[in-house]
Amino acid sequence: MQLDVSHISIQYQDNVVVDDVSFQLAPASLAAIVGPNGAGKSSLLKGILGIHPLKKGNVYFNGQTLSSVRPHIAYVPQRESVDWDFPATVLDVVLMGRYPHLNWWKRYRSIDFNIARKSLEQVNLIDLADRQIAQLSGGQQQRVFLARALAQEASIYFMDEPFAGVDAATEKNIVSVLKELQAGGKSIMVVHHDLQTIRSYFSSILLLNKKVIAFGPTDEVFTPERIQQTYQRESLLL
Amino acid sequence: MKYEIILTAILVALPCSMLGCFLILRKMVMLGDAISHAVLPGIVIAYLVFDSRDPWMMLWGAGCTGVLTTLCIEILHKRFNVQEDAAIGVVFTFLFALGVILISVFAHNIDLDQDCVLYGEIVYVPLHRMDIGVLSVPVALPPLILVNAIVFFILIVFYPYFKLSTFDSAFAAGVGMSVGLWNYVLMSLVSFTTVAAFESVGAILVIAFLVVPAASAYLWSKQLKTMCLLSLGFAIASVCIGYMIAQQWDVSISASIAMGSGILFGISFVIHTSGKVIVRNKQ
Repeated sequence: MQLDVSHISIQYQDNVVVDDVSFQLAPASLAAIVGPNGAGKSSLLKGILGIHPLKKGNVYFNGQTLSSVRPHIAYVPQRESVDWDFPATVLDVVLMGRYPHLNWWKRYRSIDFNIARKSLEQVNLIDLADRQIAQLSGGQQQRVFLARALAQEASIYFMDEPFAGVDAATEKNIVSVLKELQAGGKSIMVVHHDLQTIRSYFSSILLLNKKVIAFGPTDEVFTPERIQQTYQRESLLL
Repeated sequence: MKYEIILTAILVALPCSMLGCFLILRKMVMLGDAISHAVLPGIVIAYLVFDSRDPWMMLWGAGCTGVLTTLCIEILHKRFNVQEDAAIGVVFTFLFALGVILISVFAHNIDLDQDCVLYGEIVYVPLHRMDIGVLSVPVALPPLILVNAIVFFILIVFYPYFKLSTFDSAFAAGVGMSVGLWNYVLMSLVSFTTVAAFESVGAILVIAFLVVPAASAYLWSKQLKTMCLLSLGFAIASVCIGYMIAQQWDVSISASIAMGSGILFGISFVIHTSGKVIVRNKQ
């Protein structure tokens, strides 16, 4: 799915957190969003997904507005954004990914259970399907969230720091799932922090610090000067 | 007589304990507490405007104030950056105080007194009666039955919406669900339930029903559905235990029921924590 973001700005009260951001993400891209803390990375995702209202600008998916393509868009929020002591099993959470495919009554059909189980297999958690989510490790929680997004069978995926605080095995698993998705023609945008792994994980990169510093193929864009430029503003602000 | 009292208590306990599950999981218990007090001015104003103690008018008056309370708290918290707990405290004490003043200025010699609002008097429930056809029923019952029907209808039909928006509001918004709408629906239900309930059992017992059975059920539950069912069970058990305590020692029924729910929570808590210790020792 092609994503067109044109001149979007997001504002909290008087504070502009995303300023006139434009870029075009081609189908089958695996892109990282990189920038310092407070650069508006999470807000950008939420703006694109309509969770936060846009002050200015437009977002199009294959030329259509968000509301007409919403079932095809998956979002993985930050792991800390939910209470993992919530009374739910792993399977319960993954099944939530099926919501966009259900009618208003929102009761699961047997196909939904099959897809949820298949998603759990992809992230190596099928053995824990009936476990309460409170008993999971951080890496397992992250994979549950990924499985929920997979169960959505979307065309484009937005992930907010899926690698934050996870173990090496989980990171490896997530990367391989992302590459599979990309090979299957899906687009993925990931908020990412670890500059060491960018070259090996992502084919394109968006350097963001409220404004777009650079966007393009990792080989061209991910240069020391550009990185410095992205992170420099933070030190100026401080 | 006796069964009417128990039935009234159970009809209050059921919707409260069910709504309580969602309040606890949304960490909004204090908001339930706030609404149950803040509806007082709504009741008084409804009384003054319509000049009757017709429970339906009061239900509307209080329901509107309940939603207004939620709105005020949200505006203070989100727009003006007042901390949420502080916003709750400011709004509900103000509205409750306003209600008390309205009563003492305009309605002090009528049958709408502050003690009754806070503590309720469930023993009097069978005394105020009305006739429906050939049946003579306590006045308090029809509104309670209606509230039960509304609360359970909405919570059961829209259960998946409440579940998802409670667990992960960002994801829910991402799949196009109106998180704000469900929040207001829940708060309206809490308002209506509180109002229908507190004339007969008092605000304190309403809060106990909103919080304690759900808190006990939370300790035992692996899934939300289990938690809701257990919470209903704990609520009914609290009523039975409370009624027995009240009979035995001839004390306030409302207080005994609230205590009954506390006892059940205590037992759940002890078994739950000692169970955890045993599991840990085995490992």
